[in-house]
Amino acid sequence: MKQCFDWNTNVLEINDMSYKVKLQLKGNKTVIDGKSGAGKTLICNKIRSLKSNKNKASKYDTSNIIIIDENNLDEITNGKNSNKVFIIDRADLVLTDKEIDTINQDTGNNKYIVIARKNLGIEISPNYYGELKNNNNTIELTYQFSIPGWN
Amino acid sequence: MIYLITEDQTSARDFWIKVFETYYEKSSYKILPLTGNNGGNTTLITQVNQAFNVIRKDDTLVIAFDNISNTKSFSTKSFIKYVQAKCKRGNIKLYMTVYYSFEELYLSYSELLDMCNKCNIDKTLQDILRYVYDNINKHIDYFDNSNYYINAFKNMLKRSNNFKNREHFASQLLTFITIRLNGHFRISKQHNDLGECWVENCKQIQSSMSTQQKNNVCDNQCKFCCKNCTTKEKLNDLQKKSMQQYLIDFDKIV
Repeated sequence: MKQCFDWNTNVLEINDMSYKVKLQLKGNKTVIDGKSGAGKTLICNKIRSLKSNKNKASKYDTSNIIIIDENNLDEITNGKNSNKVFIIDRADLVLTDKEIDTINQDTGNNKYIVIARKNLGIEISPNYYGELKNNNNTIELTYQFSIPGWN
Repeated sequence: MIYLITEDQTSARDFWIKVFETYYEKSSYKILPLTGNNGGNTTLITQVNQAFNVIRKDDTLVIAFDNISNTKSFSTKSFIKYVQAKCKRGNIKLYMTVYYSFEELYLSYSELLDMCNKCNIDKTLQDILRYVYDNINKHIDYFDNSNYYINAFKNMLKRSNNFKNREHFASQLLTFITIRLNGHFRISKQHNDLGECWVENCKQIQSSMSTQQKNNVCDNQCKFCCKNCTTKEKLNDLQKKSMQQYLIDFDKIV
């Protein structure tokens, strides 16, 4: 079974009949602030679906991905997780200072994809701000800045 | 006209003022005053807006960040996009520092590594510096609180807590190392604490020393490759042997 998120290549990939998702992350924390309809929620829903029992035939292993919402915020702060990718949709509505501080303090244990429309104080350089683009049914991540010294 | 904006009153501001004084005619640049209580990144937008009261088409704006990372009260990305758009509309050339934090300019300077070796600085400390130096120059984020070298430095400082962030780590490392070279090389965040020997003309530094001090500190102890050099020679060496080599040349901001 293929890993939906490959820790070594830092790529999240889902290949579906109708569309393809291929997100190349740059570092441990990525903030996505794309426009409506770009596919942010669709990705979360797709992974939720892959994780659910309905998709027993799935070819993807999503065990290293945790989708965060209001009901499982403690997954971020309980200190029990390592080598996980947290995907937080609507983070500006979901995260509190407590989780943001934990994310800022985590410098390599886990990875984070934070989908937010406003600045939450995630301590990253502009290099790690991505935008989702839908090119011919392939959802990709493009970066607004790529300054070597800001990595 | 070139306009310089810095985040706040720190050694980074001292450094960039020195660069401008060294490479440009006084009549060709203006250092814009800090706003609020000695600046801070949240005052950058105010500074930019004030600059636009005087800046004209074809002028140049240089923004020297202390730390490029976001904070809760400041989105660096939004700020940069705002300034880029404003400069584009006004036909203003825009340059920004492209290091993560000012300290990394010196942590990426190969001469700092060489001096540590020549001054017999603790081997573990040299290894920590080598780790940071290599990663900065390869453009890799090196800051990870679980990393062996980061922890080695944490133990060296006898800290129980992790470093708050990359800038705090870099700042503490640079101060810890430079103070061991010689007090005249010490760099800390504070205003007026950019080790004079890195940037000042040696003759000028020596003019305030006694003969005995000069013999002892400069002639016998100093291992800096820019010994007896001018400010420009020192800055040129930094430019050539640090991450600044990948960036815009100090004298090409026009």
